[in-house]
Amino acid sequence: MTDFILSIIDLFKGLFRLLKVDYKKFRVILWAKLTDDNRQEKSVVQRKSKKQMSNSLAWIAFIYAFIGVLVGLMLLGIQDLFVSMVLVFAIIMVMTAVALISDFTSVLLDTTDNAILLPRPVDSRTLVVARLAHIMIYIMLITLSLSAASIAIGTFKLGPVFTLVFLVSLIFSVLFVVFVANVFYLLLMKISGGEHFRDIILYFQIFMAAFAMGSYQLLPRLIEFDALKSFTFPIRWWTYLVPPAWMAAPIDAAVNGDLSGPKIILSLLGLLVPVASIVVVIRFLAPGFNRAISQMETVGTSGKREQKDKVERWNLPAFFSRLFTSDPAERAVFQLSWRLSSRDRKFKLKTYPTFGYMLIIAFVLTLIGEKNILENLQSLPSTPKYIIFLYLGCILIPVVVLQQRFSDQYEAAWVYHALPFARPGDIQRGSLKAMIVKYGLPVFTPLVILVLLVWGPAVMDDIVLAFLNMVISSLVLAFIGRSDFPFSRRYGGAAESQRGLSGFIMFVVPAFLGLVHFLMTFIPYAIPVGILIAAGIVYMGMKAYGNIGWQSIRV
Amino acid sequence: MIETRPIITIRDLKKSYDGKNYVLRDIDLDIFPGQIIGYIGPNGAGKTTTVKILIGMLSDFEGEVTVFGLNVAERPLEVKQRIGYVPETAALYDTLTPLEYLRFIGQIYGISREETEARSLKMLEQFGLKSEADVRMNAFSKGMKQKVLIVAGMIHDPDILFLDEPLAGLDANTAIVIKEILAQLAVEGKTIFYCSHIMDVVERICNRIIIIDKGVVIANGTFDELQAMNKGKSLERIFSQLTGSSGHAEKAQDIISAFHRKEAE
Repeated sequence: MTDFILSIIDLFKGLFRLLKVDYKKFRVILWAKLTDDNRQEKSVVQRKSKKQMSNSLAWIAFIYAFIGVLVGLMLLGIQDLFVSMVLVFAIIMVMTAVALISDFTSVLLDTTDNAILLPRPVDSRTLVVARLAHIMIYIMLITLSLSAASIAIGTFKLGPVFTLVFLVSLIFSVLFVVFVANVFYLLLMKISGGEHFRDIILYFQIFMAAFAMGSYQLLPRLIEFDALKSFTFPIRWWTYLVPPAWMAAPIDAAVNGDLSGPKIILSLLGLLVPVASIVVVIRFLAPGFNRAISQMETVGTSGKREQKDKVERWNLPAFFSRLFTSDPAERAVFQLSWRLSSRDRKFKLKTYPTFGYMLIIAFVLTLIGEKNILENLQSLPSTPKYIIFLYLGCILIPVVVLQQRFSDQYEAAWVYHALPFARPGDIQRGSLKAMIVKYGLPVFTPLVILVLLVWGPAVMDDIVLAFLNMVISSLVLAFIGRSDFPFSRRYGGAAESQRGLSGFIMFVVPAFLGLVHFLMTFIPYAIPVGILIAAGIVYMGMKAYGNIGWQSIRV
Repeated sequence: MIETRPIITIRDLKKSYDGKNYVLRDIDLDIFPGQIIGYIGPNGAGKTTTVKILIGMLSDFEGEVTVFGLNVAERPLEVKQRIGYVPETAALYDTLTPLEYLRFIGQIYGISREETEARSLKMLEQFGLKSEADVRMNAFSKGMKQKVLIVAGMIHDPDILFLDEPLAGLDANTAIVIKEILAQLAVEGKTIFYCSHIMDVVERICNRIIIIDKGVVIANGTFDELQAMNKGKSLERIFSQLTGSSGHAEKAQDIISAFHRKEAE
């Protein structure tokens, strides 16, 4: 695979030489990076995970190809070629940019091979172009899977001229997107001064992930496709500012023979702007970018020192651990898990988007229906939809419980094995309690206020039952993952890929409990009885969970 | 002895990462070919920063630094081509095999594939890694990776070798071989820049010792010169005299009493 990619890149050798890149060195660096990526996933000791992991890239490609089918269908539905092409390229460019910023930040900001490459005689331009090419290879994969269906449909409908021009436009749009992402990062670095850069990127990624997940729910419900079918796109002055229009224009020009002035200008923009921007990236932005990245490591460590005393001002973990734990070991782990989950970037990145996603789902499920949003809002109090709100909250906590087994610093979990813990159950329960308190309270408090405001105090008993059911769901997940200590497993390792079943249970258990709860609302006195039963289960479950012995821990 | 020109000159070197706190404050040094420099200092003194500037990894600093008479900030590539660096942290692509990694490094230096392979295999054999030459390095111990890093640092026959704690993780026999290599290279006229915290090694192998503290050079000379100036017997003693803290025994006592359970109470 690596050789195949490199042989394709060899075709553009002249272009790289033109950019004053040392091609030999460039090629060998790219070879090392790609080989490293390729083996990274498979080379882990666990053979079992081999298959799943090496497929992760294929899986991403598959998902994007599926979305691509929906995109391609627009070619069939919309009459005007220019309009459909602008839409297709808009979607492709936005999705590529989002993928670039959210999924490939690690590749773009990778500092790990600095120590290998910076002491060697490689000029910074070659280094940056190698870095860019490395990313472009992945981005091209995404873009190609996204547009596969469009290419197929378009070729079938419009002939090979379409295919050729479309592919050329595609390459130029990717170049442009890479430029935009680069400028975006440089601006962020300038604004944040490097120190909080990674945090800002993190919150941007969380926002984007939630936005991407949510938009699949929202967009189809909001856009009325009927109106688009016969829509035409008059060219105004601002059309020249819309990059997808640059990419769509040459296709329209080539296929329909529309050689009018505006189309020619748009096509020229589509050709010149990406070329100019990539030259700007390599000539002017790249050196600064590289310097900023190599500084980031050092700044990152010196910045930490100043945060030292700020963290302890609100000693929430200590406060809550006294409230909810009695055993000293359990209390210690409670505080540790609380703090680690606040500071582990990966943990936030994996859990926080779900929170935003659930908010959007709640909105979709409760407010969007046959009638318009306002009417739905007015009739809300007479429906039992508070159950939906409460149980969406119930799903969030198991997500966190599931995730808290993983960390980039999984090796640090050796301490649990080295310290004299009598029962590992104390460790596990301390961490579970920390997750329930730390995430359960902030999720449930606004939910409770909202539900009480809309439905009134009559549903108080439902809230209590839902809360207990949330703890039960978390306990179920915790029992499934009982063999792993908190933050003891590697991301991307075997443990994470075997998680599939728990990911399913995570949704099924709260959904099932929610359904039972819903049915119980029709039986008089069922809710108070349910509360008693649920409380009993929580009590017994917590007790049993705390009694887990060493034999059930996986080393 | 023939008077030679310095191979490294450092003039008024200052470096700050954030514009406020200076990691290096006014360093002036001349280093001559054939010397083994022991570059020592407490944690955070600025050793690694100095090395990163000398090998052209960091280019924004104040002052003038030349290596082989070339300004490192302006012509880093020519400098990098002729120096070798063995970093403190085992930074390598550990999914590659030693041979693949060394071929990669060799190609960057522009050495032919056959030549790289011949040199690598010979060195790997001497380091006892011949049978692992085609095994991926992610299962390697720290010492084995360190050997590969040392080979990678020397493969292009550099004129100056920068080593940051190179003996970490190596077994005693390999450590002796490395020390012998350094001594023989110096006789050939190569320059060795050796950063370490292990004082007795520095005392034995280095013919010039530079101590820095808080970004300033506080001692510079042969071991005998340092001994004469500081009435210390060992380098360890001289080092602790110069870098501040006396009263190590009391400090140790305090530390021990901090974790002893108080039985008297």
